Order: sequence, then C-alpha cells, then structure tokens
Amino acid sequence: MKNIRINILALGITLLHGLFLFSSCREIPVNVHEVGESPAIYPDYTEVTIPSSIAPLNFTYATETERMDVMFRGSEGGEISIQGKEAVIPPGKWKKLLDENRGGRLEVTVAVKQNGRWTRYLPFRIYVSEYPIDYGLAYRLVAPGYEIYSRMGIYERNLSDFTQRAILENTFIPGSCVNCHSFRETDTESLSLHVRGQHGGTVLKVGGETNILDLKTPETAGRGVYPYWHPSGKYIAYSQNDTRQVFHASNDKRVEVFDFSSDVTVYDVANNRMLTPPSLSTNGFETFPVFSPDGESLYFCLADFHRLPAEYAKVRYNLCRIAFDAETGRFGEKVDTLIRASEMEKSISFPRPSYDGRYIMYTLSDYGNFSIWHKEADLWLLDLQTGKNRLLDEVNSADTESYHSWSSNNRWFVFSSRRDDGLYTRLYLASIDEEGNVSKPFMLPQQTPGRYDPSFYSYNIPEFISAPVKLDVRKIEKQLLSGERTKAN
Amino acid sequence: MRTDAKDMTFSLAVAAFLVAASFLFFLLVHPYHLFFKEQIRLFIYTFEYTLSYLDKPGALSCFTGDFLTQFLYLRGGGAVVVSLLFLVEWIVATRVLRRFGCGMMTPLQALIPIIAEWFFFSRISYTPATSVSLILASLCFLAYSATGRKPVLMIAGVLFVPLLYCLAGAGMFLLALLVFFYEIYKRRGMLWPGFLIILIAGAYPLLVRHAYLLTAGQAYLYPSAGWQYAVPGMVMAGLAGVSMCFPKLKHRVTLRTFTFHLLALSVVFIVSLVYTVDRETEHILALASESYFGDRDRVHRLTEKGIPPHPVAAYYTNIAMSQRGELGDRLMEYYQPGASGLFLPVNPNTTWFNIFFSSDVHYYLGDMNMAQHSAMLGMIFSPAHRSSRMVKRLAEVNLALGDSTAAEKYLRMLDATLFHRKWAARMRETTTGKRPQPVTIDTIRRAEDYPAALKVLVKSDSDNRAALDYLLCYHLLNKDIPSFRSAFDTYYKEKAAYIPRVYGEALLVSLAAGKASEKEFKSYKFDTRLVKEFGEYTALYEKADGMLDPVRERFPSTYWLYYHFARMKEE
Repeated sequence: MKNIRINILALGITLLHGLFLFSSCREIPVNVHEVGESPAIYPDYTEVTIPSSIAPLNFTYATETERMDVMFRGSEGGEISIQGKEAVIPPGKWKKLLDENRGGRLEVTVAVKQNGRWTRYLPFRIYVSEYPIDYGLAYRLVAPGYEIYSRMGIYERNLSDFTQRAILENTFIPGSCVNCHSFRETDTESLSLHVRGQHGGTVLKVGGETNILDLKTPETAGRGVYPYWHPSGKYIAYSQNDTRQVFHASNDKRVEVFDFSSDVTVYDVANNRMLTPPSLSTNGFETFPVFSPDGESLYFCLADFHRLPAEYAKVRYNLCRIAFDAETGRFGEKVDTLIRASEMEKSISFPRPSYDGRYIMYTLSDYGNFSIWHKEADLWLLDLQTGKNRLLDEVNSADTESYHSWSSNNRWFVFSSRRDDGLYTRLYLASIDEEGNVSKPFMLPQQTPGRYDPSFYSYNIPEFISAPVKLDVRKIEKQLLSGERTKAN
Repeated sequence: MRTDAKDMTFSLAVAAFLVAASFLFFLLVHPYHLFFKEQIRLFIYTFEYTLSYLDKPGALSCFTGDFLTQFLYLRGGGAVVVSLLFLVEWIVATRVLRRFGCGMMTPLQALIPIIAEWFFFSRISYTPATSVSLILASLCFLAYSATGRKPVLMIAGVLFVPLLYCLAGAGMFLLALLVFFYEIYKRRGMLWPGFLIILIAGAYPLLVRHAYLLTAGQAYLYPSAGWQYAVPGMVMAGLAGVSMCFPKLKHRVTLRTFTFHLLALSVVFIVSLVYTVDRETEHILALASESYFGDRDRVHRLTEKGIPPHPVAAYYTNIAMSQRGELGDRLMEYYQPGASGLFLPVNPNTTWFNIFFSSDVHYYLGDMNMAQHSAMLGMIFSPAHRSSRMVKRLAEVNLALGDSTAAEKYLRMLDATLFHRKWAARMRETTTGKRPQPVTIDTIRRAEDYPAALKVLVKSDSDNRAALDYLLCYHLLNKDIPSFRSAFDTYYKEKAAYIPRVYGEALLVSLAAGKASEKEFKSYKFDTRLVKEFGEYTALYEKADGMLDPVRERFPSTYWLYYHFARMKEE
C-alpha cells in the first residue's frame, strides 16, 4: 500500500522534475573557465565503484550554485546530460546507461555556474561493477541520544530506487523500542527482532510463522542483544548486555556506553531452549557473537573484567572463537584468541565474517565496545586464508566508521559512518573483489541530495536483504499486545 | 433586497466580532501558548521535508497546519493566524449549515463549533492541522452537496473519502456525517450514499492503519492528539443534524430569536473562556518563551509577579535569579520543588514538556554535552519530533563545542525556514569568544549526577559563578548540608567577600549542628543581624514544637524553614 503510494509519488516527482527541466530553458555554457581539479560534489561520488542496479547517484555542488551542467558518458556507450541547480538523474536513463556499461565506467563532466560565470572541472569516473548487489538494506533509524526513546523504527530501502518503507515503528506499540534486527544472512524469511518496553518480546519469524519469544531464563536476563543466525537457521546467538550510558564533560568526546555485565547465549530455535555455556558467561565481558559461515565456530569479543565506570577506558575486547557443534548444540572446551587487540591498547567490536568464510571485518577503537561514539573507530579486515590483518584505508575517514555487514555474494559491504557531520551516521557502500581490493565507498544514493538534510535520525545496524521483508504487522501487534510469549527453556 | 442587506450586515457584524475577539484573546490573554506551538514544530522549505508528510494520514492538513504554525513565531503573528483561521472556518461552517436549511441565525449558530475550537486551541497539544482538517472536510462536503442527484458524482463522492483521509485525516468523519445527514435531509428516496459513506469512513482507518503503522486510536484521530479534539467537528455535524430535525430554526431574525441565540452563545462563550484560560500554564510558557527569546527584563518582571507551583516555573526563575547573581540570596523567596527546580530530570517518568526545557540550564552553565543530549531528547519527545527551538539549541551547542560541521547541519536547516534564517546567519557571524566556553577537564558521569557535572564546570573555570551557585543550591535543596558546607569551603569561602543570605542561613545550621568553635564560626564573617535572627528562629522553632504556622509567619522565606519543614518527595 505504502509502496504503491511512494512509487506513484516518485513517478509524479520525476514527471514534475522532467517538466521543470523541459520548461526551464537549457543553457549552453559559454566562456567556460576550465580548472584542473575534480569538482567538489556532495555526496562525493568521484572515482567510486557502484553496482549496475543502484539508484541514480544524484548529487549537488558543495557550495551554492546557480546551475550545474553534468554529462555522464559511458565507456561502452550511452550518455546522459542534465542541467539544474542539482544533478538529479532521470531513473530510466540512468538504469539504461548502467546496464550498457556494466563492467565499464562512466566519465562525468561537471560544469558549475556561480556568480554568472561557468567553471568546468576535470572529469571524474564512476566504475560500474560486474558484481550484482542485493535487493536492499534494512536498518534502524534512531536519534543519536538513545537512552530513553520516543520515535524510532526499522526500515528497508530498495537499492534500485529511493523507496524507503517502515518495517516496524515503535509508535505502533506505544512505549516500546524496536532494536536489534537480524536476518539469516540476507534471507528475510528468517528474522529476529527485539522489542523493548511494557509489551516487549523477541519477535522470531521463520518462514511464514511469527512467534514472540521470552528469552528470560533463570540463567539469562532475556535481553537478546546483537542477534546472529547460525547458517543452518537452527540457532541464534545473542549477547545479554547490561548497558549503561554516561557522558563526558569535555568537548572532544561526548557519550560513553559500556556494559556492566555481558554474556553470550545461543537460542536453539527447534527445541526452544537457551544454551548458556560457562565458557561464554565468565567473569569477563563477552559480546558480539557471530557464527562462522560453516557453522562450526562461534566468534565473539571478550574483554577482561574491570570495575565500571571507573575503569571504562581499560576495557578492551579481543576477537575470540569457540567450536560449536550444530548437531548437538555443544560448544568446544577451548576459547581461541584470534586477534589480541588489547595488547595493542585497542578494542574490537562488531566482528562480521563474510559468508564465503574468507574474511572477518571488524571495528577497531581505543577501548570499549560502543565504537559508534569513538571518532578513532575504523574498519579492519582479517583475511582468514592468508592471516593478513589490515586497516581498510580505502573506506575509513577521520570520523567514526562502525557497524557493517556483507552482501550475500560477499562482493559488497555496507557500513555506518559519521564522516558527514560528526553526529548523524550515514550509510556507505563499497566493493571488494576476489583479490581483496576494496573500492572507494559511496553514500547510499539520496533522492534529494541537497545541503538541507532534514533528518534527525542516524542510520543504525544496516543489513543487506535479498528481498522485501514480509512481516504480518497485524499479527505481531496482536501477539505483542496479548502478552502471550513462548518462554524459552 | 433589504433583507439581504440586513443578512449581510448581520454576518459582517458576527464575523467582525469573531475576528476581533479571537485576535485580542490570543494577543493579550494566551500569546505564549501560540509561541510555544511554534517552538515544538519546524517547517522547512525543502522538497524532501514536504514529502515526509505523506508518511501519515492527513498530509495536506499537517502540511498546511505546520505552514501556518511557523507564523506563530512572530509577536502578534499567532493572533492573526488564529483569528483568520477561525474566520475561514466560520465562513465554511455558515455555508455548510445553510445547506441544511438553517435560517438567518446561521451566522450565530456557526459560531458554536468555532467556540469549541477556540476552547481547544488553547491546549498545547492542539495543532492548526486539526482546524485545517475540518475546513478541508467542510469544503469537500460543499462540493459534494453541489453535485445534484447525479449518481456518478455521488459515487465519486463516496470514493473521495479514502483520498480525503490521506489529505485531511480524521476530518473525513465530518464529511461522512454531513453527507449522511444531507442525504437524509435532501434525498429521502436515496439514502444509500449516506450509509455507504459512513461505512467506508468507519472502516477505512482500520483497513489502512497498518500501512501507516498507527494504532487504532491514532488512525481514527490523526492529526489530532486526543479524542476531545473531535468535539468541534462533532458540534458542527450535530448542528447540521439539529437544523435538519428542527426546521423551525429556519425562521427569520426576530428580537426574540436573536436574544435567545445571543444569550445561549454568551453562556457557551463565557463558560468556554472560563475553562479555556489557563493562566498557570500561560505564565510557565511566558517564562520559558521569554527566556528563549533572551528578554531577561521580561523574565525578571514575570518572576517578580510570583510564579505558579510548577517545576518548570521554578526552573526558569532559578536561571533568571542566577543570571542576576541573586540565586544565593533569593532562592527561598519562591516555590522550590527540591532540586528538580534546578535541573529538570530526564528519565522515563518525565513528561515531554519537562524534557523539552531541560537543555536550557545545561547550556547556560556551559555543560555542552548534556545540553546536546537534552536538546536531542527534547526534540524527539516533542509531539512532532522536530522543533525549531531545539534545532537552534543544537546549533548553538555545536558552535560552542567548536564542531562547525555538526553546527552547519542545523544552521542549514534553519536557512531553509522563513523566520529563523536570520538567526542562523547571525550565529555564523558570532565570534567564539561570545559563546559559553567549553570545559577543559574530562570525566564521565551519569546524566543525573549533577554534582559531578557542576564540580567539573567549577574546576574547569573558577569564574563560572553560575555553576558554583547551582552546585551549592543543589545540595541545599536536597538538604545535604555536609556536601553544601564542603563545596562552600572548597570553592567559595576564600574568594567571597559577602555570603549570600541563603548560604549564610545554611552555614549557621551546619555550624550549630557541628557545635563549631568560635574560631571556626568567626572565619565565616557572618552578618550579625543574620546570626541574631538565627537565634530567634531557633528559640521559636523549639517553642513551636514542630508546628509550622508560627515559624512560617515569622520566618517565611528562610532556608531554616525549608530545612525543617519541606518534605522531600521520592523521584
């Protein structure tokens, strides 16, 4: 229903825009001043690599302009010429141009009219990858100060256009908070979603069946944070975090979030039981559990115990692994440490293995596990084949890079970054080829790329999805409000 | 001809009365309610922002309502907007009632839904979007009723209901009721369109609410925030129904009917006014708004009038006293709800109203991280989740922090508004030295650990007298005399040539309780009159044996009274 409405609207906008372009006389740039530098466009789409199905990369100039004249020329043929205050690309022409130039590149020439004078910049390239990308992204939109909540939601975005659809908003169940959504890889038929508040519970969707779980057992607090599905779909790993938020007094840091306690547990979907191995509930802090793609290991982050909040800056997480037998639900005896970040006075968060098992991408910051508020937080890549562990210079910025996830074919990854304004996280996508070469990232395409960004929400927990999320909202509302829960054993 | 002229004169007189009365009311009696409505909303002239209105029903009502709300920022602008809105609504209501055969008294009868609207307009949660929704629905009815007996047009009218829900939201029900009555009244042989439209209107919100992600209640009320706000629409539909059932109301103006209508209306109007005027909230909003506008003289005048017993009123009075350097002297001269009059708590039990204002004191004291946190929560918790006042605060905070990139995000947003763009331009020009200075010492603390935050501010800048006063007063209002004494001795004693009265009173309590030596006593350089009064108070307190009245009568505004008799409430 909403999709249809938005599509009709998008069509209307495009038509109106086309009408506007048609009606406003096209101006032929004359007396053009040529400069030998790249144009300062926003978002920065210069020299990026994109999938051929991506939505138009609309952009604007970084400073106020009277007019922009933009020409896209494909290396394999085709071109688009547009003119206006912003570069808003007709979707149909864009799709055709990308289809024609898959594996090739676009050369983009930008001329800008400012103070009545035209300036033409050096052309830049946009590389069109041969690797396909998934249908879309699912993410949470939440205001940066999250301690208590008012309005937030989980949304999905079609990567081929600009359609954003709400999967669930917390205003639908007043007084609730929706968080920690997870799919089995990118399969939207297997979903875990935690709802906090008076009518809280863990929404579990497997195929067409939706159930509300109460994960609280005598051994666990039932918080169900950072879920991650076993590749078989038989288990979901959760961490049980007792999270607190505190504030810095000085201006260079703002917020600090840490766990007073945290353990890792695994939910056995078929037998409705919580597995709480002692090796994952130690005196230390265990968090961010993720299964290996072969399902035989569980990766997680582990930090030594420290008194909190006094020693918050001493809490540093290492990347660890423990064997897991999916047939019996048993864990190995030994915990291996893959990366001992604490020895470098660093801390690991959000380890995410690629689905082919070759890499683990993670976030590295100075301490703690809430890297989103750490400006120094960067993405790192561990190659499990070669053992090479490297900083992803190609995608990192001076500001925070944090949560990330892989596409189903492991050739794309999405991550959240605060590089735009230092406060609100935006989503960036980048490509990685068979040799591990990573491309320059590009911002999730924006329909109106203007400088007036009216959003008060950060993009949070982005996950690739292979298809739209089909959630029976009526049923979930009824189940949540009824108070009926499937209690885990 | 002469009758038409009389009707016209009568209508003009009623319209003039309505406009003048509502204009004066909202200009003189309730101006701050209107200022506040603007502060809790934001209207940006961007395409993407406009599109966001389509996420919920009543898109056109909400868009138009917010467009009108931006004019409430201007002094007198709110009164103009509201009176014009009432005028339009009255004209439309008059036309609607005439379709039901109302007679020459229609101009007076059409005032009844407007008075109901007036009553609710003075509530904070009522938005102009609801009025626009009713106007849109009434206009649709006028179009419908002009279609004659053509079935195609009637079907179009029936199909128009869902579209009206998208555009006007709950105003759709007014259309449904009016069509229902109209079909009974005019087209006795053909009732099905009326029933059909009622059925569609009743079912449609339930059918589409999941697509809009609304609860059933929200779906039936949107864009209104409460069932009571449906009253003006129901009154209008009810009047139409009554007119239909009592055709005698069609009579011409006679002295008897005119007098009857005038009396009835006067009663409704006076009763409404009595219940409408909320002087306490108006006073609180006046303090909050004038503080926001930076008019310290007006804030001072408002505090001198006496404040209502509300934490927000105490909060702004404390800020005003601190700005004048009088907090330590006059803390006990007005209502104090404990330490929550110094810092409005932000937790799940706090109302959005209190959260909205909570950033002001942090910004004033120079605690920028907390000011930002509170401002973000204030905005997200406000009814529309976007607020011009909070965007300004966020811009100010980030400028003070030296984070120009983050500040620009908010300033650019304000660039795209009608009335805040000049402010944004001014802020860009303001030099850093004129802004509150950020703290240089780092530590972490919980949001509600105010003493820790205040100590950092005082240590970071020994000239931050406001933070020191707040630290001392925080301990005093919590009756934590040992902490007060410790903070006073550490940060205040050596520097101060003069001990403010309330601090002196508290120190005397501390010294008396600790059986201080004469040397220790003399080190504080007390005013001898204060020491004498303390002796008199102690004697009276002991004599009164726990009775409040005799002590209050003699020492009404003293910390001693607060210390002995104020009851601390559990948070």
